[in-house]
Amino acid sequence: MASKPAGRLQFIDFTRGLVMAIMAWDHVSGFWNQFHQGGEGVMGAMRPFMNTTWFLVRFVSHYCAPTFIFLAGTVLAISTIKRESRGESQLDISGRIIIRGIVLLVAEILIVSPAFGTPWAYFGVIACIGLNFIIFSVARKLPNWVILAFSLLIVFNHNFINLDFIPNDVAWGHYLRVIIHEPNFEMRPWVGLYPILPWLGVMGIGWVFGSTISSYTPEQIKGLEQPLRKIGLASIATFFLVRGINGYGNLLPRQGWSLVDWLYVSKYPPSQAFLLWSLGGMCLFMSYALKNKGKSTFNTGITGVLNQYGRVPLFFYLTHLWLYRLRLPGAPGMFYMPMTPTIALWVLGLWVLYELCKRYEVLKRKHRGSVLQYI
Amino acid sequence: MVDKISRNTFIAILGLVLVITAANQIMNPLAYEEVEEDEYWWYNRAGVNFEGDAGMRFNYSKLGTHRLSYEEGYSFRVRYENETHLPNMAFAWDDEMPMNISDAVFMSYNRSDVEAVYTFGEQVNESVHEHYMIYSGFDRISESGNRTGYVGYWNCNNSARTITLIVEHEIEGNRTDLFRIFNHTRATITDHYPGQRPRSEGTVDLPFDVDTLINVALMVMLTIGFSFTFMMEGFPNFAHTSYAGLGAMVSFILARFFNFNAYDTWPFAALVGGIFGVVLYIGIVKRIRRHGGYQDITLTLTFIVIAQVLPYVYLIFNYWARYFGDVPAYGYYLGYYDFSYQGIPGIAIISSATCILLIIGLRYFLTQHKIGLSLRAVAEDEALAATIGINTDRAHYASWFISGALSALVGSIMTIHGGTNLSGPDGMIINVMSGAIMGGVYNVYGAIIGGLFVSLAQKLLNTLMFNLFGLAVMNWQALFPMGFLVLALFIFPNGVTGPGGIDKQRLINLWSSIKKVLGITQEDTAS
Repeated sequence: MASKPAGRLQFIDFTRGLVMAIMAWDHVSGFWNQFHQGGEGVMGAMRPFMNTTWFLVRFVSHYCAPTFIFLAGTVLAISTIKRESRGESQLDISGRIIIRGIVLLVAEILIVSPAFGTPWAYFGVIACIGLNFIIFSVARKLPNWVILAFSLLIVFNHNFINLDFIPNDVAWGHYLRVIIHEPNFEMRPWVGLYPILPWLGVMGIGWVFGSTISSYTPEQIKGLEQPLRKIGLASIATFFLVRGINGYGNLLPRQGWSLVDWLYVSKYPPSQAFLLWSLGGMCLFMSYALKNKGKSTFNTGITGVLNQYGRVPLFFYLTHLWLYRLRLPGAPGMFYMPMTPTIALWVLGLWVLYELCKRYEVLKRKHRGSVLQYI
Repeated sequence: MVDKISRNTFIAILGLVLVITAANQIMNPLAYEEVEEDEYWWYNRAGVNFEGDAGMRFNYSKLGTHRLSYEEGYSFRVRYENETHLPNMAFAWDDEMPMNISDAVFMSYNRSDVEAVYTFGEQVNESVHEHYMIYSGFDRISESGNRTGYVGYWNCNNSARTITLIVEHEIEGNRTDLFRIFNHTRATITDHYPGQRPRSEGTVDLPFDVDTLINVALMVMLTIGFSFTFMMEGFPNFAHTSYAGLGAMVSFILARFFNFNAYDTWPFAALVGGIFGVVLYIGIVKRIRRHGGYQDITLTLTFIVIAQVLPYVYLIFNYWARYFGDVPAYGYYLGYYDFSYQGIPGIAIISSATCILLIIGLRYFLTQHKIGLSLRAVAEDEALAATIGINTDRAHYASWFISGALSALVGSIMTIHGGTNLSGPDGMIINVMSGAIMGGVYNVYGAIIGGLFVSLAQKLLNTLMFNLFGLAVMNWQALFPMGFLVLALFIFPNGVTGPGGIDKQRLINLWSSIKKVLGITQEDTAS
């Protein structure tokens, strides 16, 4: 008798929740810390950080976007296969994915961009996932080996792409280049940091991972712990190799031998070194979750909180931005805080977000067929 | 069905990808090491086109340590990546013209630079096209940092805007280089500034007011659209003129964000307006109709609410455009895209021609085209039309599409002709209703007559009342359309072309009555 496939994959919820808590730190720091900065690699820029501490508090957030996008592909594959097995029509499935993509694009314009204070046309991570969803509404029909081959090809080779054939001196051409592969903040409002091409590759690998494990039994899922740990460690080791050789894979070459020099990699667009580090870390997080998910403490305490975030990721994302950017009425616009109160604010915000996510999940379950299914 | 990837397939794919990557790496050894600068950096927004040299970087809203006032205009700093001493450059614009060069400097520094001492070089006055430029070199000594640079301002006659440009450097900077940047920048801006309107040599004096001509065209288009909805659905669409705001918004977006010529935006505005009309039909009218009850009252009230809500939607867009798109959009004005021919504004010619072509097109559509004929049949008797196999849904869609498209087109025209304010042309709904009722709401031709009559009569009445009562009449103008409405309902409750309206027999009878009153007989006429 065949074993029953695993139900909700807690290790995915945990990993997603963990990176989102880290991401919340990055954003709260961005809103409240004067010396926080980002933009690593935009048009080859390598802006210096105040000191190693400020660099590291930013560097830690590098796990977020790759994990978010990889797991978006994974979950999309799992849910698509579930729907297919329930007998839903192909048109319905594609339609649902497209609607989800559009919801994300609209959310980027209406909720995310104003929260960051970026122009309305800002092409951020949510818009990037949204557009990639729309691409996957069609690309999902391809065999898995084709998706994997293309995804790996993109991830390993996107840095060679030359978009010079698209004019950069007109708004549409400039924006198209921003959306495809050239993160840029120069021609407002046509700005963006998350071009679809490299991230499409990441999502594609996530998709293949998701469709592979979709039919796994709980035992088989549990068995992923070791392979994921090995892949994660190998990936991080390869990161140091790539940085050490300082050639291929480094959109921002290593300038010296300090810790910052080793770790300062291009995120916009994501270099191979960046993805090795961040996706390698993601594999370790997943492995950790698989190792501990059987324990009684996994659903309580901090891991329980992280699991909760991971179950309603988009709600968390949209809510946390506005929660952390809030300033008291009358407070000066350019008021900044030192790091310690920022950490306190982060923790306080995480508690509020936990309560909100809990309530939202109940609401979402109560109204399954409603618009809430897309958030 | 899940298709699994075997270990061998995975290894084969990975191997292939690595081979391709290695080949790419060998063929493109520098691709990852350098990011090429564009040859030119092109800046375009809110009326300024500017081409900068290679390697320029624009930074928002800061000049040295001074933040430029956002409210007064837009400002940017430019720096050259490869230079040790970075020259800064900023634009600022305002309706207010600087009084002189030192005032222009203060304007550029947001008037906060009071402690600095300036010395100015020789002042140069120049004229390029219809833009007048005054500029001068300057040195600034201040506790916050000594600077040297060039400052100048244009007065653009056509657009009534003033732009202040400042290029500055640390005191050790090379003044020759600064002048090169300054000169290059102002030359490219004046060449491209869309405030320039093509002017023709001669001008023609028209026997009528061009504004009236445009208003008549707008009114006729709006009235036709209003009548379309009324004759199909049987309720007055109070939101009809609100769609015009949508058309204006579409035109504004395309022109200001995508660099379209304002005239080229019309088809898109009409399309969006049309689709919006159909969406309203499907989403609201059809649903309410399905549930029975007092449908016409419900629909009327619903559309009054929509008319109230739509301007707020535009306000939300305006907020976005202003704060996140860096485009001021208190209203939608694209007048500076207009041209003139023999002194006549292009919009007067194009809008009138468009209106005439639309009337001809609609006549053809309603009398010759299958959908147009079905639309009329449905307007007459929907149940009967359905029994003879007419697709009534399609007829409804067509009417809402036409209605929405016409209204949105009006909005687009208005952006060039005087602009629309925040609430769009909402105030016109009473005029439109007056025109439609006067002409006869069950008849498109009546709508044309009604629209024409109301707009012309309003203009004539305004002029007459102004001559009789002076400027105070401005306060009552809004009452005139109401007066027409009441008058129309008294005399022609079904409109001049409707039942009981003016037909050939009635005109003959009227003429006979007049002749009788005047005592004119057949013999008198003959003699």
